[in-house]
Amino acid sequence: MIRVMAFLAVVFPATTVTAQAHNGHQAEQQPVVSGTRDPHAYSAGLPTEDRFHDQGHHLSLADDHHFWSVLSDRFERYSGDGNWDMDLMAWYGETFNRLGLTLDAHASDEGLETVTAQAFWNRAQTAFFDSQLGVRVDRHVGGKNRQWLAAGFQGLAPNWFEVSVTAYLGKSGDLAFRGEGEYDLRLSRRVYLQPRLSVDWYSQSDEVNRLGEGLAELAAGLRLRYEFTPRFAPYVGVSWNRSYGQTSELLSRLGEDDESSHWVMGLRFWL
Amino acid sequence: MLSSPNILSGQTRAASVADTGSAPEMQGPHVELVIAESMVNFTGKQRKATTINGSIPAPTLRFKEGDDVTIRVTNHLPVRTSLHWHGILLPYQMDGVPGLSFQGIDPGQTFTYRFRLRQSGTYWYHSHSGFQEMTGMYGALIVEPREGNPVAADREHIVLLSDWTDDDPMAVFRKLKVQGDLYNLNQPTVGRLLKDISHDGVAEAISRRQMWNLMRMSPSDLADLSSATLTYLMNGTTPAGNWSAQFNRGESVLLRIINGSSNTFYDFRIPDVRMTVVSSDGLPVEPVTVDEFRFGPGETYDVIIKPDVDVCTLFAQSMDRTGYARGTLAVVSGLRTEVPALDPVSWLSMSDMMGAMDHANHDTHPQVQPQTMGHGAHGQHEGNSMPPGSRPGTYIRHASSEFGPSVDMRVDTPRTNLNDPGVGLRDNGRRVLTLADLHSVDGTFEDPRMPEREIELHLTGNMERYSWSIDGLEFGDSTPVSMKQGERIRVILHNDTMMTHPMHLHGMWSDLQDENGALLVRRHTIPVQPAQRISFLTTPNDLGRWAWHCHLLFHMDAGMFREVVVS
Repeated sequence: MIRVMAFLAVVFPATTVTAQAHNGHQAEQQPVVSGTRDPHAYSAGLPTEDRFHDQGHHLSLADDHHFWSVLSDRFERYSGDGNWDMDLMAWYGETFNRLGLTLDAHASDEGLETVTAQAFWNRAQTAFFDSQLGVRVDRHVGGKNRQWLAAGFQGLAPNWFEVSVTAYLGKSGDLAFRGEGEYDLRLSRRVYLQPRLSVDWYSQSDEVNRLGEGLAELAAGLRLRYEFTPRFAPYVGVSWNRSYGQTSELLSRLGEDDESSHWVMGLRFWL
Repeated sequence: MLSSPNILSGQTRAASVADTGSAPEMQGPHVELVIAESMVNFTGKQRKATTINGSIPAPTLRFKEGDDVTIRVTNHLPVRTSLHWHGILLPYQMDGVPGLSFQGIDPGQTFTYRFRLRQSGTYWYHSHSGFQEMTGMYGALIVEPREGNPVAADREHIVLLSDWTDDDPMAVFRKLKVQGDLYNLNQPTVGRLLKDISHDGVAEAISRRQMWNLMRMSPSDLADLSSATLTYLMNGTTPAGNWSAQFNRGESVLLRIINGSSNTFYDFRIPDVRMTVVSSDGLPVEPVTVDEFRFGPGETYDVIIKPDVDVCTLFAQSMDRTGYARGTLAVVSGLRTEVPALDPVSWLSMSDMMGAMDHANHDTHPQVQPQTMGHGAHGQHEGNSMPPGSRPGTYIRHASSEFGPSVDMRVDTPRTNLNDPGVGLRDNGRRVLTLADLHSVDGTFEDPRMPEREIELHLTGNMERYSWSIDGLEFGDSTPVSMKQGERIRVILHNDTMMTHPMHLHGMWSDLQDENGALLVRRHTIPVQPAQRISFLTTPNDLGRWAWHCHLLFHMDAGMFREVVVS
């Protein structure tokens, strides 16, 4: 984990901005960077803790508050059949430490088919990236439920790419990996085009749940949304996914397609 | 707390309708104020406000320099409250900051403020508790000079600008924690890109955006809140309500203009009428005549105008150009004239991002230096702590706590010039006031000493996380800044963000210096522009615990706040 974060810090740091002055005599008077300083150096030993707390003289600002949100990136129905996908997220906490919950579900006419629920401790590591540590529970209707430990990171990469990468460790030592990326192209103040890509990979086959070893699924989507407000934005789009390797073979043995695409209609919202 | 009977008495008094428009005036030295909930309707929707004596703005308090004033404040709210006398020097127990000066005024309780006024001029007062200021608790505080009136004007009007949201301010704040750019209405779009390409060519259009995109910053991030949630008010009146006042042709009119808004920088002008600025932050300055000035929450300007028209519009557009407050001055009531269009939206410039690209230096090349977070990369240099001279120190020392998740950018080449009116006002064809234009009148700076030491603080933030801090530490993680009574200190404020922060230091003056160390103007609130590094001198004369913060209310509450202990 530490290694991952160090890697992140190198790849996605906060930026330091400088202008290179060309003419020398100007540069002479310009302030120059010279090391760092201790942010507590001016306190003359006074502590962080409020010294008058027990007298009721306590100043607490919003950096001590806890906040929350519930967000749905995708809540959508396939056109032409009764399939649903939903992708919900919630968090609670202060600015740099939060409890995060995610819920991915797929349902058809017959009801829920798969549900993946995750709980994370999200900790801000760099200006734009959080580390995530937690657990994942998969429920496969008609298959077998699975539990995993999860570790990863999520955040905003340069050029505004939302990125999330998570590694999972299953009970029997099997590994899984999930990566997601998306981008919001702002066509106008209210209209956005969102391309999206996700990959799932497993180290071992899980035949009862129709998952094969290797790259199990690649999914891509393109969604066009209209933001009545950023908090309420219906969309239309196309979603495509394809299975590879052993998963693909598994599905063809079962007489199912290893590739599908469909139109979707949905709602993006947050509370 | 719910068991307190005082809460019930508070609640039964609530829900009267607030008076809005020109505030009633109360003469000192003894004043009674009652804080309660009242209903207001600025937008067509009835909303609950917190008011002082039932009006928005609160009553104008008029005192006389040298007076011993007593202000009895009774709290009929269901929560604690406070009043802070912005820019007034007084004993710290009277300063009205809950948690520092006192514990606040409990529901049902009365607190008596007592202090002697040692200054005169245009000031204001407001709640320092939570977001109460934003829901209506602000008013003008005018201190007449002991002897005569140094400002020769035939008439005066108070122009108190503020802002209002129908939403609960804490709900607005929470939404910004979820999406920092929620209210940023003028973000770059593909449509704008295509327009720029056809106008300037592909290379130019792309290069304008490249740095912003790499840094994950928005060039239109001029204000956290916009007209998407705010209604801009002049003397408690909406633009449609058109606050109006009278003057006689040929008269000189003193306007005491106060930015009492929670989160809005205003650009104030009176089309076709020139303004002579005669005081800033309450204190007289060498008169300077301008067309326009920008000011942030907490700042005040007195201007004298001599309109040679029958009617003129007081026009205060928000810095992000999403709306305006306005009013009318006319020789007879009922006259009104044209309201100007909002200026076009300007993007932040490279100098707002990187600083030192002064006008003489156009071939400056921007450079982004990614830095790793490993602490080994940053040596702690202690060799630069030489005693300060007459000029502000030129060694930039970022705090070690600026290299974590709370900070999304650091400026290594700040600009130090004060003659920049700021984004959106540059080269607009009007004469716009800058800090470099302000010169306190002779006799203002009574302390001729050189500073004995230098305090460098960096203004920091992370827009994606909606975190605001000083030196990368939000208030809850910070330690106080310790000062010795009577010592002469130079403070350097270095802005590592792309927003302008009006920094308000309680309990002592901030004597602004130019880049060569010459004293310019005495202030209580100093706006620090993006990527700017400014310095001021101060002499703390009053003992105690003082607040020091960005006066953008949301930045303050997010943690851009320090306690100052004078011992």
